[in-house]
Amino acid sequence: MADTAFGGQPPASRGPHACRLALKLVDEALGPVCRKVIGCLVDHGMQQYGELVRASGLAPPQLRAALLVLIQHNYVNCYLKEEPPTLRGPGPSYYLYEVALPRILQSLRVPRFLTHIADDHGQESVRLIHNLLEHGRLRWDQLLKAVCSEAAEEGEGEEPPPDPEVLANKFRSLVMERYVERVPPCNLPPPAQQVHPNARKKKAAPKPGSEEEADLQREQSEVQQRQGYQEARFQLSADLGGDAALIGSEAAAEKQAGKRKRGKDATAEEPAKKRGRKKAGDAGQAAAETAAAEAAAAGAKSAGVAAGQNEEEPVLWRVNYDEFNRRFRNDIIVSTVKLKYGVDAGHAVHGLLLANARFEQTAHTVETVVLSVNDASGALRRAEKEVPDNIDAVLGELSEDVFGLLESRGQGPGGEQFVMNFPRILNLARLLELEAVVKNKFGPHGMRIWRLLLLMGQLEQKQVADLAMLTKEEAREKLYGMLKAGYLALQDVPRTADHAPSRTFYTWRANPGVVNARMASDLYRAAGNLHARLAHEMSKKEELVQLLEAPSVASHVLERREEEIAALRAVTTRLEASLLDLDAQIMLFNDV
Amino acid sequence: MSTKKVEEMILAVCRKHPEGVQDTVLEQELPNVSVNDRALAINALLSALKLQILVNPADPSSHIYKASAAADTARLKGLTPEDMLVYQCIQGAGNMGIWTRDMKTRTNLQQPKINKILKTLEERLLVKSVKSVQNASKKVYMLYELEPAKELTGGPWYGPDAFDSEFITVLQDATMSYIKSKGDATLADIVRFIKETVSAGCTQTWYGRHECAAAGVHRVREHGTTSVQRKLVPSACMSARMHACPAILYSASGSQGISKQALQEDDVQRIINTLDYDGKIEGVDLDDDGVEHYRLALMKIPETTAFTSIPCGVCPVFNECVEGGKISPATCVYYQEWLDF
Repeated sequence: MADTAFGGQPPASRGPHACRLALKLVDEALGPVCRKVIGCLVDHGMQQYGELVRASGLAPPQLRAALLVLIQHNYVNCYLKEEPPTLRGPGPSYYLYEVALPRILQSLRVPRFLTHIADDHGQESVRLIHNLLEHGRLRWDQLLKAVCSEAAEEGEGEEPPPDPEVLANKFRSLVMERYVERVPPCNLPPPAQQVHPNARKKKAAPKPGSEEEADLQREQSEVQQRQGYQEARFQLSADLGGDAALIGSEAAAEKQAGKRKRGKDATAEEPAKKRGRKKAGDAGQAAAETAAAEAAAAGAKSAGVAAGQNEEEPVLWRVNYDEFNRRFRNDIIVSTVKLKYGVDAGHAVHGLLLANARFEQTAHTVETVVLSVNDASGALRRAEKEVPDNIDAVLGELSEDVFGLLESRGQGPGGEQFVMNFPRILNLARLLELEAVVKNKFGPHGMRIWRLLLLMGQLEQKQVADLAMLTKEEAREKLYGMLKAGYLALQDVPRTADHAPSRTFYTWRANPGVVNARMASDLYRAAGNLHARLAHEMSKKEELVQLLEAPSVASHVLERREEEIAALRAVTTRLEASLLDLDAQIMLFNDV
Repeated sequence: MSTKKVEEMILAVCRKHPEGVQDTVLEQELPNVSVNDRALAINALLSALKLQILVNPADPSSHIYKASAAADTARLKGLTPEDMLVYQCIQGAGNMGIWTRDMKTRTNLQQPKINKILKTLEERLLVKSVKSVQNASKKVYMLYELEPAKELTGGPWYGPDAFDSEFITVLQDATMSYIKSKGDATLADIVRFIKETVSAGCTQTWYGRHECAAAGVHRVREHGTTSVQRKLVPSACMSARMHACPAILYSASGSQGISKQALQEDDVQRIINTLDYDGKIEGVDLDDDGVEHYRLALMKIPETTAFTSIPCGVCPVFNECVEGGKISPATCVYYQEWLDF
C-alpha cells in the first residue's frame, strides 16, 4: 500500500499533506534550521551537499551541523554515489542526501512503540528503546552509558542502578527480535530506481567487454552491497558477544573478487588475433572493459565495507520502526479475522503469523511463506498462547472460504500447508474503517449508496436512487457530496461526438483503491491540522507554558492559576490523544 | 320493418358476439333488413350510446360494432360526441393513463376544449387524474375505476404524493427483527412472514394513534393532508416472536380505502438488499441447495473512527482549510466547540 500509487499519483506518505506534517514534526523536534534543510530535500529530492548549500541558503557550517543532527536522528539518509570510471581514471564519487519521510512521520508512533515494549519486554527494554529513540543512533557503549545515567537521575540513589549485564541481555533480545537494527552504512549506493513493469524493456544479454556489461556489473555490485547490509542488519556486534565470523559479506566479497580475477584471466588468455582486433577497435570499448572490471572490484570492496563493517569499527544501532509496524499489522490481521471468522480462526491465524515472523523483515510483505498446521500450533505453544483444539480444521475451513485469506498448498510433513495473503485481510480492515468514515461523514444513506456502488459497479443516478430506495433528491445530494469529497467518481459516456449533456450517460462508481489513497492523504491532512491547532493552543498560552516549564516557580503562583493550567492540560491532552489515535489509522492506510 | 325492431335485432346480434361484429356479419345475420334500415338503426343506437363502433383489431382498415353494457349506457348518457371521443381516448390508454397533449394529438381537439371535457368527465366520476412518480408535474388521465399501473405510482414505495421513506424504514425494521429472531432466514421465509402477518393485521386510519387491544398504543405516522387509510400491523399483532416497533406492512394508494397491493417477492428482495448495503445483514450460502440465507452481519461497521471523532473528519469545509487562510485549524469554530470543555 505504501509504495503503490493510484492513477499515477505518488503514495500519500510522500504527498503534500504528509510533507507538511513531516516539516511540522521536524520543526518541533529539531528546530527551524533542520526544518529548512528537510524542506529543501522535500522540494528537490535527493541532493548533493553543494546543491543543498545553494538551495537552502544556509551558511555551510550551519548546514553541516543541521545535516549531522538530521542524520544522527535518522531523518536523512546518506548514500555514496560512484560514477562510472572514464578513460582518465576512476569516476567521481559524491554523497547524496535524501529525506527519510517515513521515519519522520512515524515518530508520531513513538509512545505506541514504548507501550508495546513495556507490555512485552519490561522496563529495562523501555529504557533502552527510549534512549535509542531520543538519540537516534548510538553505539552499544554509548547507549549503556545513557541508560545508566538516566536511571541514576530518576532513582536518585533510591533504586539500585540497572545491571549492565541484564541490559546487554535485553538489548541482545531486542536485536534478535528485530526491534533494533544496525544503522545502514553511509557508503551504500542510492536505492535503485523503480521502473514500472510496463515500462521495462527486454534487453538482450550484453556483449562481453561492452559498456552495457559494465553497467550491468555495476548494478549487480550495488545490489550485493545492499544485500550485504540486509544480511548484517540484525547481527550482534563483537562487543555484544556476536560472532564476527558470521558476517557473511566476506564470502560475497571473495566471490566477487574471484569473478574479477577470472575475468582478467580470461582476457589475458584470449588469442592474440582477437586482442589485436580489440586494439584496432575504438578506444571506448577498452574504457568500458576497464570500467566493468573496476566496477566489479569496487563492488566487491564496498560490499565488504557495507555489510562486513569491519568489526573493529564501532557499530551504530537504531530502532527498527518497520518491526513495530509489522507487529501492529499482525494485531490488526488477528483482530479482523476474529471479527469475521470467530475467535478460533483468530488464534489459528495468529499462530501462522508467529511462525512466519522469522521469515519476514518488513511490514510490506504480500504473503507468508508456506507454513504447516504444526508450524502454527508450535509457534502458539512457544509464545504461550492458546492453541485451538481443532486448529487443522479451522485452517482448512479458512482456506476453503471464498474470501481467499489462506491458500492451501497441499500436505507436508507438518500437516496441511498454507500461504496467507496479507493484502486481502488488510483491505478488509481498511474497508471497515472507510465504511465507518463514510457513514459518519454522509450519514447511513450515504453509506448505503457507497456500498451499493462498491458492490454493483457503475450505475446511473436514477438506478442508484432506485436500488438504494431513496428519493431522487436525497440520492443526488449524497452522490454529489461524496463526489466533492473524493469518495466517488463520475464518468460521462457520451452517445454523440459533441458530448452534449442531454445525450450523455453519467455513471457513478466507487473505486476502493482510489478511496483508500484519498483516505490516506486525508489522514495526514487531519493530523497536520491537529498539530497546527495544538501549536496554536500552546502559543495562545505561551506565558503559562513557560511558567510550567520553568525550573523553579513558587507554588502559590501555580495555585493561583490552577484553573487555567487544568484547562490547558485538558485541551492539549485531548489534541495529543487524538493525534495518537489518528496515527494508528495512518499506519493502517500508509505503512503496512 | 320499424326502426325500433331493427335496433333490437342488431343489439341481439351484437350481444351474441361479445367480441364485436362486422357489418358483413350483420348483413348475413339479418338478411331481411335493408341496408338503409340497418344504417338508420345503427346511427340511432350509436346516438343512444347503446352501441360502440370500434376499429377491428384483426383488420384495422375495417370496423366492428359492440353492444355497450347497460350500466355504461346509463353512466355515459348525455355525453356529446366530443366528450365520447375524449372518453374513448382515455379508455384506450388503460391503466397507464394518457397526457392531455397526447389527447390533443389523437382527437384533433383544441386544448381548452379538451380541458373543458375533462372537467365534465371528472365531475361525473368517469375519469380521474393521476400524478406520475417519474414526473410530478405531468398529470395523466385514466378511467375512474382503474388502478394506476406500478410504473405510474412507483409501486408500493410511493404514498399518495411522495416517496414513502418511512414505510421502507418500518419494513426494514420488521425484516431485521425477523432475521434477528430466526438467526438466519431465506427470502421465501421473509415473504411468508410478511404474508402471514398481513392476515393478522388490522385496519387503521392514517391520523392519530392506533389503539390495539393486544399491543397497546402504537405509533401511527401522519401522511400529507389527505386522509388515507392503510393496513397497519403492529408488532405485537404480527407474531409472538417479534419484538419490533410498530410495523406497517401495507402500502396505500389512491384516495379510497385500503390498497390491497401486496408486496411481491422482488419488493421484499429490495428491502433485504438495502439492509445488506447498510451492513446490517449479510447473505450466506449455508445449504447445498444454493438458496441464499440472510443473517445479521458478523462484522459490524464501527460507530466512529479516530478520523471522524475529530472535527476534521466530518468537516464540510475540510478541503478549503489551509493554515493562514480564511478557514484554518487555528481559527476553526468546530475545533473551538470540540475543545470547549
